[in-house]
Amino acid sequence: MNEAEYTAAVRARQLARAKVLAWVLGAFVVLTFGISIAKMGIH
Amino acid sequence: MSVAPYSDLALPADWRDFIALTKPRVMTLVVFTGLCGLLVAPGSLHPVLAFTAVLCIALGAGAAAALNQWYEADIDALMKRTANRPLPAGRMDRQSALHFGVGMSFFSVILMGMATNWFAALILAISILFYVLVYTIWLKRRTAQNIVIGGAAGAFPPVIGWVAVTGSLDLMPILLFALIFLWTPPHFWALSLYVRMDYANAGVPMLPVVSGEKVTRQHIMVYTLPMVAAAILPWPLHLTGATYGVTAVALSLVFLAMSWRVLVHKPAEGDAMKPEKQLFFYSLLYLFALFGALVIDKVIS
Repeated sequence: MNEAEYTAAVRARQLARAKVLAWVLGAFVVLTFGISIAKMGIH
Repeated sequence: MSVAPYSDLALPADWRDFIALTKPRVMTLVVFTGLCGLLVAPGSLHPVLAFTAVLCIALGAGAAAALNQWYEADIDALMKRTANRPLPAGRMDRQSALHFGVGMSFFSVILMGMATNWFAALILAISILFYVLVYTIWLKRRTAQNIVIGGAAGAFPPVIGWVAVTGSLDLMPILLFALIFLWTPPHFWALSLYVRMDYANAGVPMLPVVSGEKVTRQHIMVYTLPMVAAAILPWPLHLTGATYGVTAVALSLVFLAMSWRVLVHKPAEGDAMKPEKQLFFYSLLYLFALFGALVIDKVIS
């Protein structure tokens, strides 16, 4: 593996992790909204 | 000064390795028992909050598993069964696993407290700390009783599910705790009988390594008896109906028969250890079926 291939592999891993993290954070926002609505319904 | 070739440099861990770090297969049983504890509890919880409670149980279990692998990377590398995990296989650095585990522990506990109640969050925190500090760090490498005491960590999920709904403890979740607590030793000892050499090579003092196979077979039988009692007890105490009771009796009789087969089994050199493997897999089915019956019983009644 040369320097260019290594850098490309690192970038690909970082991009994949960033995408997954973005989805997780998005889901957390939706969940937090859902929890807030549910809690307001209870009180 | 020599420079390492690029083929030798570690890449950042793949996101799938973080998933693997949470032991998803083990988590299935944890989530299922937690969900059943939540469903059989008296009262109701908003579906979104119930989903969040189960999610927190899953995240807490995943965090504990990640911290377990962070601490045990050295012995995992020595065992065939665990050598391909992300840390011993060199696909992830230990610090990433530590940060992931600690971060997810805090996140799951805080989210549980905010979504349901802080008593449930406290029990979730205790279960994570128990698994990591008491089982992984303190007991596992020191005593053959590691899984007897450490088994308590896996017994918390139905209690957490129950408390998430009710906010308090009762006899039923304590019995469910006792059931999983007493189920854990026969389950793991059955496994350790047929992967004994793995544990011996890694220096883990599992019962078959320390006391031999015969003693382990006796211990499996001895622990099966109170486990069966704990499984059936909710029925005569009128905490469940006949659907659960009859199912528990039938499943427990099969468990007893399989434990008996393990007790009397005298394996020759190179034996396939069939009764032990069958008991291990049946014990998984047993717990799934018992908790499933518990929920069905509640729906029927």
